Amino acid sequence: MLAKIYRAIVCLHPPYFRQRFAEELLSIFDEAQGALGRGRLVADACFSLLRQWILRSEFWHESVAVVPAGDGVPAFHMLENFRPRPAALVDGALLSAVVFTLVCLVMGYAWNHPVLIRIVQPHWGDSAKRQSHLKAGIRNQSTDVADVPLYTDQGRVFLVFKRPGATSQPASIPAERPQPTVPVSVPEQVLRSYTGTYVAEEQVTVSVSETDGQLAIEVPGQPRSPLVPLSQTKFVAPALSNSTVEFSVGNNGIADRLDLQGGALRLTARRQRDH
Amino acid sequence: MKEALDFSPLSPATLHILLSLAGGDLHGYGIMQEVARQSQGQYKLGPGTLYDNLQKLLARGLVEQVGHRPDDEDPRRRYYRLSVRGRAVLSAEVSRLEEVVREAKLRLQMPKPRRA
Repeated sequence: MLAKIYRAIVCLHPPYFRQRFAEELLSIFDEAQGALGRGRLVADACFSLLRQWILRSEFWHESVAVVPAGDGVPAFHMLENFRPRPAALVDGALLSAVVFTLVCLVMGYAWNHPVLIRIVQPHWGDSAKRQSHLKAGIRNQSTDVADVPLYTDQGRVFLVFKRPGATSQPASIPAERPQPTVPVSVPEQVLRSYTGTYVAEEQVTVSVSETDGQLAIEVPGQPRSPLVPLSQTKFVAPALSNSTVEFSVGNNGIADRLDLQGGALRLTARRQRDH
Repeated sequence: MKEALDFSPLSPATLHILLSLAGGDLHGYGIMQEVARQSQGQYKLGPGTLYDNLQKLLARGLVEQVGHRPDDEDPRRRYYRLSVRGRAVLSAEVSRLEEVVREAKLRLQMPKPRRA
């Protein structure tokens, strides 16, 4: 029984090894005494089988004998005569095809399911000129284009145009700003402490006023918007694309800074002191 | 000599195979027995390891295959011989080992520093 197993294992060796050494291996097996000795030889043949197939690929086939060339005949020598077996080439081609298909599928899925990220648009050009244009209510074409929200999925850039009856954001974009569901009650005294004129770095003047307990904000070039309280210091401006307005209160209890964020608007303005 | 040093150091199996063939032509089973005798039974070479090493030694030209011997009781046996190149490699390896042994003996004979 062990002899048959040993013969089968020897037959599974690479062709060149088998051709050269099979008979000698079997001869040595016949010399072995007892089941233990033969069992060891079977184990040794198993290790040899793995070693020859995994580590000795250069000996799988007989190397081509170099024939010396005659006088005047150029001789060519191959430095490396190892060639992968055809089955390995087929396996490699199949593996490459599978990997290529997977990469294409992943790229296609990512193309059709973008994760959109809002691009914060910087203000270009001369700030004073821009402010004068804003104050005069002039909105040229470039300003209009800049107002269109831009989104990116880390590669492509999307222009999302507002359409009547459509939401201002793509469906896949989560709402960045909280919607005022239950208005918070803010005392009139606190509301009045927020009123005044705030000046941003670009000399953009933002006015906050209070009428009948209702706070409102005016940004040049934008419609006047009421401020709906989200908390004692944070408000939302529905007419400014639901931008949030947050007041920072100083030690004297009066707001000294205003942060406006949302849509294309993003500015920080400091309260203008009354002279 | 320089070419012989390219093969140095030899693996234990290669060294034992070359050493066993240095005494004369042997077949595979004879090499296994000779290796066991040289190492006093401490190093036993399996047929898989033997023919794996013989395959490499034949490819490098350190060992030559003689073929069958008509007087051998088993016609399946093939005999192997140490080539000139193989003998040079073995000599170089033995010289290297002699240097190692000499250096080791020198170090072991050096007096140990006494503790204060």
